[in-house]
Amino acid sequence: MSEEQHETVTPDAETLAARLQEKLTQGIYVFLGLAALTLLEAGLVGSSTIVMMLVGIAKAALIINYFMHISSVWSEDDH
Amino acid sequence: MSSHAIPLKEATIRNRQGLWLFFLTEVFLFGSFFVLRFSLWGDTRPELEQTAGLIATFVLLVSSLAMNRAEVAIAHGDKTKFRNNILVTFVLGAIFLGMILVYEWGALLGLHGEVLGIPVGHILPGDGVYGSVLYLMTGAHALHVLGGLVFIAITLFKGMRGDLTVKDHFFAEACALYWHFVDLVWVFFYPALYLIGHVVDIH
Amino acid sequence: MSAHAHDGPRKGMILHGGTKLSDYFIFNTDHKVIGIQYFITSVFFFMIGGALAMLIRAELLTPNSDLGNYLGDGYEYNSLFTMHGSVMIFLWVIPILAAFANYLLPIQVGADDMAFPKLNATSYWTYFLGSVVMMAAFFVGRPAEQPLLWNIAVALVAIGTIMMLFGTFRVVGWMQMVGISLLSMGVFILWGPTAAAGNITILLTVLTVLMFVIGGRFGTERTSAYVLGCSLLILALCNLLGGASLGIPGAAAGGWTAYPPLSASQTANAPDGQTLWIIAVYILGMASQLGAINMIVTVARMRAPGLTMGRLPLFVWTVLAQSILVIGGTPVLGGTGLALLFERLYGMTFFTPADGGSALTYQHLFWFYSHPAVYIMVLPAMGLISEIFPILSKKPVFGYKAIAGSSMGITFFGFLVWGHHMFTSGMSPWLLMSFMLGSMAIGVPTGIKIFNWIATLWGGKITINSPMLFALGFLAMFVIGGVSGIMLAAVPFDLHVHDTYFVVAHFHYVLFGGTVFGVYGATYFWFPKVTGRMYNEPLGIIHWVLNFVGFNLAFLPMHWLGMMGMARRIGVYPEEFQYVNQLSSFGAFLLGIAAVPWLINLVWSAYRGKEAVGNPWGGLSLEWQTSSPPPIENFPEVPTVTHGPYDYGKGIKPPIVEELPAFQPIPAPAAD
Repeated sequence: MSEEQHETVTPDAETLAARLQEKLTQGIYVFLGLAALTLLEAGLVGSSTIVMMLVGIAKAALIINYFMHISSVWSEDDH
Repeated sequence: MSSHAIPLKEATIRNRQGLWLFFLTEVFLFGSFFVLRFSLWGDTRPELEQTAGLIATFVLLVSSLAMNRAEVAIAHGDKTKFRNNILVTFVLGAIFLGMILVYEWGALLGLHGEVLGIPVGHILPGDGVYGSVLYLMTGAHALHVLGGLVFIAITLFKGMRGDLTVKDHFFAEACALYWHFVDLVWVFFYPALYLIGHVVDIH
Repeated sequence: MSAHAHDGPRKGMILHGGTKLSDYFIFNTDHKVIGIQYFITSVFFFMIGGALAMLIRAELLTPNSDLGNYLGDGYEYNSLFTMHGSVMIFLWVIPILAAFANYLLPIQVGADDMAFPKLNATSYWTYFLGSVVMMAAFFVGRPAEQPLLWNIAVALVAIGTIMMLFGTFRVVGWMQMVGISLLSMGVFILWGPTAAAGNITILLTVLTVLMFVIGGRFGTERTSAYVLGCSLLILALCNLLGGASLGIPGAAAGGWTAYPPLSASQTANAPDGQTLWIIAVYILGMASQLGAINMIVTVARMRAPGLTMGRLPLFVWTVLAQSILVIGGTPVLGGTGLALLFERLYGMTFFTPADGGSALTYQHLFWFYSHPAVYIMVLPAMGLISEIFPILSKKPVFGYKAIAGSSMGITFFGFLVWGHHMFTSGMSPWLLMSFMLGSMAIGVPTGIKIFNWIATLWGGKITINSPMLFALGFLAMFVIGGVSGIMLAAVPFDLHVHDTYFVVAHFHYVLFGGTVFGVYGATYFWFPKVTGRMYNEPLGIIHWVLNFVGFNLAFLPMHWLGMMGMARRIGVYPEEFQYVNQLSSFGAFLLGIAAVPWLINLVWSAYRGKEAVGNPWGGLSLEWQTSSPPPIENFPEVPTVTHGPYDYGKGIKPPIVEELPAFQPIPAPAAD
């Protein structure tokens, strides 16, 4: 079980901090994308249901992929 | 009655899968409300306060960002950042809940006029299909927000007590996933309630 | 009980690995205990549902309304068939399959327990609570008319409270459980359009807090107390809803489908029991969902080394398919039920056309759950007989992949064909056509199963005993039910027989002739595994004969009634239907009597049966590779699987009966 061994090595503080910064920046970008899509949605008020749902699905995809890291369900890695 | 201990990694994967299956059941639950909305309202909607809706949506979105930051922080061992961000999440979640209560349930709670310059809600649950679906959808969502607030409070408590570590922080992960899921539901409820269709007079 | 296993024949009931009888009455996380809890509870409700059926058939002996003369206002018949359907579906068929899944699935995948044992126990107790709420519907609001019932209710509450508190303080689990049952019964009887509802709610809430505090103080029974506390909280909630009750006594009477506007209306035909019915269905649905999550994760993560998906026993495949259906379908019923509840209680509008709602929407949402529910109710039974056929005919199962895949096919199609219940409700002709074709297409995966079973039997060394007879009965009866199902899927024919006895005959052939036959067979088949004793074969065969004759006598004539145009759900019918109805009623009574040898067999054999060995049938799947009953962790060490579950005749020697010790004593676990 190479993964297990990989786990047992605790990353040092510097690596952790660097990784943390990387993830935090990614979160901000995702948020900006979501905010833009929300504004787009509000601007499209009254337009067709399908367009609204497409924007909604785009937002949902961002949340599920980046915030809820769905890939961790099957990749068995820590996110 | 397991006689032998389950490795932490394996336990985390099982918990994660169970949690996602739970989300799947919730998707179908909220989906049934969604179907009700499109079946009963069709291409129409009641008049709701657009400013309040947009602000509330943004409040929830920012809280989701804060929750993401809190989770990432605890996963990398930064306890201060975790505490600050999860507190922000809690406060924003509470504000969202309050906004829904005031600007959509206002009439039921006996409010009149304006709060902070925005008119309070004027629809009652008895106002035909419009009132009913509105209260059903916002109520079900608000109940989940309330549950999320309790979840966040417990996570904060556990994190501060030192129960959540870099290796073992599934509780925080579950809390974050749940909170994002609540946001996810709103992603679809917001256009369904506020944006889709043309306004009709419900009275 | 188990310590002196090798000193000679054991007396009385054999309980698996170090468990005590009292373990079966409390919050226990062992999946085998939970399986038995599910089994006993659902058999109890099977008897109740059966008694209701006997009353229905008694009423239908004559064309007049006989029951109304004895019981009062004439709505009783509506309550009878509604509660018969609800009890049989929600409290018997679904939970009995959960019983088998709970007991067998972890053993069949070589795991020591389910993925989430506590969730599993919570699921059972949620079901228990839901069943109490549903049965309480019979008593709701009655005391106002009957002083005797009122006194009984007060006594129940008093005794229940004392027992529960005593049980909690002295940490006697079963006393807690019995106490809470009595208390909740009493509360529900009392609960009616009285001001007392408010007081009872306060009392229950205080008790809940007490339970949590006390439960926190005593470590051993902690979880149990928490569960009880939660149950009380939900009871209090029900009571709170009761504050808005309509003041009409009686059980639910809107049919098991609870169509609005009837079920949403505030009339004598939709009494307070209807409110409780909705709450109960919601709670029972939650129990199913928790179970389904557990099953899927168990199969996904806890298979023994070497047990690939292609080597899973077919029962595991069907439970997997069923769990997917539960996850996709049951929440929709929950959401719809909530909307209906709010419509009843708070004057909201969803489904009443007069107020601008849409009754058709309810039907769509309801059948989106309830059509898959048909497969939820039959798939695991198909899995059970898929185990029985190959093992008792000593042949590899024919078309393993086809049977496993067809379960998934049924799951997929199951979600797409709900509309065939609504052909007369009105929908676009194009939709009619697609629902008709889709429904007929479901016959394909089902037919694949049937032919594969027959091919499995073909040329095998068939052992004719009780489980095999019931499995064969399943095969024959299910084909009849399936063929009448294809008939009903055809729109022109359905328009003719919709809501007649033809439909009743069809779904009884599928659900009784299918699922219940399968369950009967499975109780015999796994009886030695669960109890460590053999069942009584002659008694089993008597059961089968009575059952088979009674079943066909009861339900075959219903086809004729339906074709002649007798509507279902009526207690008063034209005289020309009387003779056929009497035939059907006598068959039903025989069917009721047929359950008696089964019960006697179960109880008597559990105490006095011949001791069973670990592998009485020479099976190859994992549950036969351990002792009977299995030890607490199922296998002394984690088994490794090197072959498929039905690889007979491929040179694999199943551990023959004599090679396995009859029983492996497991040292009693340390206290706590």
